[in-house]
Amino acid sequence: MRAFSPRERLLAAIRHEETDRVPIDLGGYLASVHKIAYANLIDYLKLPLPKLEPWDRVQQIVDVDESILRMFEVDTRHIRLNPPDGYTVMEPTPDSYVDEWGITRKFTGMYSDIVKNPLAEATVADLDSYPWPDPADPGRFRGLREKAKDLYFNTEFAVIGDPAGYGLVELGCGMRGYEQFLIDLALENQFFTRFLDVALGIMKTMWMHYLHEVGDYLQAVWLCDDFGTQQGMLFSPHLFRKHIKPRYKELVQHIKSIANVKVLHHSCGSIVAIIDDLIEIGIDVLNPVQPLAKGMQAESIKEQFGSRLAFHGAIDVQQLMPRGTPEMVFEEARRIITIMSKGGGYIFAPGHNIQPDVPPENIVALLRSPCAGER
Amino acid sequence: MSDTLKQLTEAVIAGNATLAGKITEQALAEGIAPTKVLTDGLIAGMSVVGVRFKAEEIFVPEVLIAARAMKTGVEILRPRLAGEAVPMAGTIVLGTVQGDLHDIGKNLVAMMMEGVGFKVIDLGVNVAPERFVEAINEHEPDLVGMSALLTTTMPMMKETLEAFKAAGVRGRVKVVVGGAPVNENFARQIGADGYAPDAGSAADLAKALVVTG
Repeated sequence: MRAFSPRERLLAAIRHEETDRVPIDLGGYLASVHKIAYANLIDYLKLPLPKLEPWDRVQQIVDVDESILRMFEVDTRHIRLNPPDGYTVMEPTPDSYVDEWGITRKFTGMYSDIVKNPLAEATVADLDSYPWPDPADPGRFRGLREKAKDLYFNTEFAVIGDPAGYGLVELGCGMRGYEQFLIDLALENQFFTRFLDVALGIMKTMWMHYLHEVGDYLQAVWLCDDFGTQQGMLFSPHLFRKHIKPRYKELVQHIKSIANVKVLHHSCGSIVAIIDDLIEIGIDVLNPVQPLAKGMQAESIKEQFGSRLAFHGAIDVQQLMPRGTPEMVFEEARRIITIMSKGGGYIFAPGHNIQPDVPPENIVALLRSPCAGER
Repeated sequence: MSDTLKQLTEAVIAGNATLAGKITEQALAEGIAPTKVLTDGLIAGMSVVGVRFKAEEIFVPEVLIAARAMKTGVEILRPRLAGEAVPMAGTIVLGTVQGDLHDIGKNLVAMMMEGVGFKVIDLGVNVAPERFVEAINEHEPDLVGMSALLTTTMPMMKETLEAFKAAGVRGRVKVVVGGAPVNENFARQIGADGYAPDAGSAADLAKALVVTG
């Protein structure tokens, strides 16, 4: 088979064409490396690279060095929004901060998790007076065009855009409180629907400015919102279809009307019940296909949806990556590649960001696996 | 069962807090014993919710509103229950382990445990091993439930169990564990007494463990 350029390889795989080898994604918002795992990796590889501070405070992930991306023949590079000019992060205590949405997070030693929700007590009327972030803040987009253009014209890598803002449900849970937002959902109250409309409006504006800058140079963009738990849907497929799906349909159409990009969606958990809906609203690639979640095993997902949807990830990070041996990781990665890449439709990546408890040997075994079986 | 208690059960299942409150008051006005209103009305409703949740007929949001409806009724009953001997299934101390701030799974377990008649002592999130030990000494529970969402905080379950041994309280409680990355095998490895994959199963497990002692 002819050799593909990294960019062609990614696009061909999403179009369900078989390629010389599977495209490999590493880095970005959803397939990156926690700073502790990264420090362990560069020590293990004996690379003279600096230990990095995370660029994302929530997940504590770092930008993997170009030399490592090249070592493992990673096909993608990523573009992401900058912090806005108009908001300075507040730090009420040394280990906590308030983000531009008003959500307070506390550093636990490994991640920054939500401890305070700005709309916990809010009424629907409060949504109109809330100091929402400015989605058009020019700081977010500064320099992105030059970076994306450079990657597009001066490299052969596929260029992927990280998410703009938050997922709608994720933002609701963060601003309202997880339980209260799900209660609002169950009650289908005015707060819930109004919140979703406001959030959708902000995200659409942010995506518009973002894609006007970089849309010509991106091949794909990420959306990110969790709809599943380990055992099933987080909420009913009925309520998903009634409230969440139409708004995501609008967002996906909006994105695709501005730029010629494929849309990747990340949702943790068992979401078998709504995969057809995601296909219907124009999602091209699903991540992570979480293998230990109920009904999400690669064989079964590929068989049911593989002709209409491409996949990203599907390598277990809940048991295999932290607790398996390098041999187990390698064998399982090869097995997943064989299943998922049949007829194209698969982008190789860890099932989530690589966490602090993953031994560097396992990261190397994982990243060596796609090229080990080159045809 | 009286029509009123049946309606109360239905109000809890439907997650209608206002109605559950009204019917609880009505049941008391009709002279139904508060303990009966609790067990045959509110708890009976919540146990149906547990069964339906486990069967994936309903999901987390419906469980949350049902629990809220039950709580509305319980608050009305509380002053009337003081001093009465309420037959409980047992006592469980619950918490998310140290380093982990995730609580929705643990909270669902608490709701389901209350739904099958357990007294729940919820220690919240980021619970240090010594706080679990203190709670065992203070509340003398039948069970301790530990939750973790992250692969990186799961090892804290083992450390907590070791703290129980060191404090000499391990033999006084059954310990159950749960959370997305946790499984039966892990539970066995760390020496827990049980594991449940979801909140409904956790309540069943707790009942079974209390019966077998």
